[in-house]
Amino acid sequence: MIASFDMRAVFRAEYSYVRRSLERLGVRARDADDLCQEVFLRVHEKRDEYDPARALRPWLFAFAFRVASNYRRLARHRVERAIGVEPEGAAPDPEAATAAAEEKRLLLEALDTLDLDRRAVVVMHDLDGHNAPTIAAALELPLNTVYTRIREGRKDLLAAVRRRTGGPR
Amino acid sequence: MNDDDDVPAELEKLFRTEREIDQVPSDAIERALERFEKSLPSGGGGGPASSGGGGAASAAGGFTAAHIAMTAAIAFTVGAGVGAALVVSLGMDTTTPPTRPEPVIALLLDAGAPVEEPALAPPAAIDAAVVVELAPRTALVEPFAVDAGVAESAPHRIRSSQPRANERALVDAARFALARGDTDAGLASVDAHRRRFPRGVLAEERDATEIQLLLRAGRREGARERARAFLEQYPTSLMRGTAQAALSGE
Repeated sequence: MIASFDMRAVFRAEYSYVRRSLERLGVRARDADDLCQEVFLRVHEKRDEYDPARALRPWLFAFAFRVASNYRRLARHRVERAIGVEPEGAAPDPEAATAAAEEKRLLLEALDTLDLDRRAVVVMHDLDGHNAPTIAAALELPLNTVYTRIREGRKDLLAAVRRRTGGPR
Repeated sequence: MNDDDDVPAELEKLFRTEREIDQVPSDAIERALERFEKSLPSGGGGGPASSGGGGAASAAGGFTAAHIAMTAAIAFTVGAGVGAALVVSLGMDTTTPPTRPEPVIALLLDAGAPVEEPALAPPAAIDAAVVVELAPRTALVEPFAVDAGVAESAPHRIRSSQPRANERALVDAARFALARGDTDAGLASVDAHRRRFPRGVLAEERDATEIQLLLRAGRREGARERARAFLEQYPTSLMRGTAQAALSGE
């Protein structure tokens, strides 16, 4: 329990993170803003349960994971890859920006091939930089399961990337 | 296993690029925040988004049993395609981030008669919700006529504010359809919910969602009719802003 949870501050500071997390979890860009609203509504409802002794982002990610999980269970969402992954801000170097956008697209497409459980763990670990115990606590998973999902998720992800780039199998 | 090693170089390169999160422009965040605060059922007045937590604080921020029931209902549950039958995988305790596996059930949207909610003993305090029993409605385009007198005299009963999982599935399906702009699917989910759970715990949320779907579909007159009926049926609803917005164009 915390005495105060500044919802507006959290919203402003973490909106981009939550939105991108949703996309990393398979939510199409065009749906991400609506689902962000869902995530923050849930966060608002549960704000009393936030433990300030723990990192905020893993806690937020768990909400995003639940919303994305429901979203992805709708068959129609499983087909199409996110659009609009390009950076929204103006890039100083158009070529570099294009290359970065292509890499982001490639990664999201490869992530799409993973089941959501592995995907979430890989995203939390390899993109957000959380360690396995933190992930285990946030997603309420056994620690060994987290390690397994990291290992297997990376393996699947690498294979998916190589299928798309023509790299070694 | 050391989870920090063994990252293949091909992946590490992609990870490095993706780790940099593109910031949503601040004006877009402000618009999203404004939308978020408007969607909070307490309707501003200092805004629960800016207020502190704690049970007492939540209550002071305008949260009522109806709101809690509504938000629990729209919480994470299941995915559901709309059709004659579908399989949904039930979510966990919805608003709680930690996850646990749950069973898979088959949900037949159009099968059988409407489900009668069992009359339960009044739960304690805030978990109880008083609902007005009304005749089920079946057609989406029919005027949503509610006789205030009937509503006044209708029997009241206490029932659990906790919706059944498959009831949540239908309302969630409608909400997600709304989110992606698929109004036909959303209205089909609303219709399915109305047939199966005519007096469900989530009827109020279903009706509010229907108004939004009709608006999104450009069916303004239908939305207004639903909105008028909604305000009659739920005059103190925390979702009445949705209905009032639909009527504001009159």
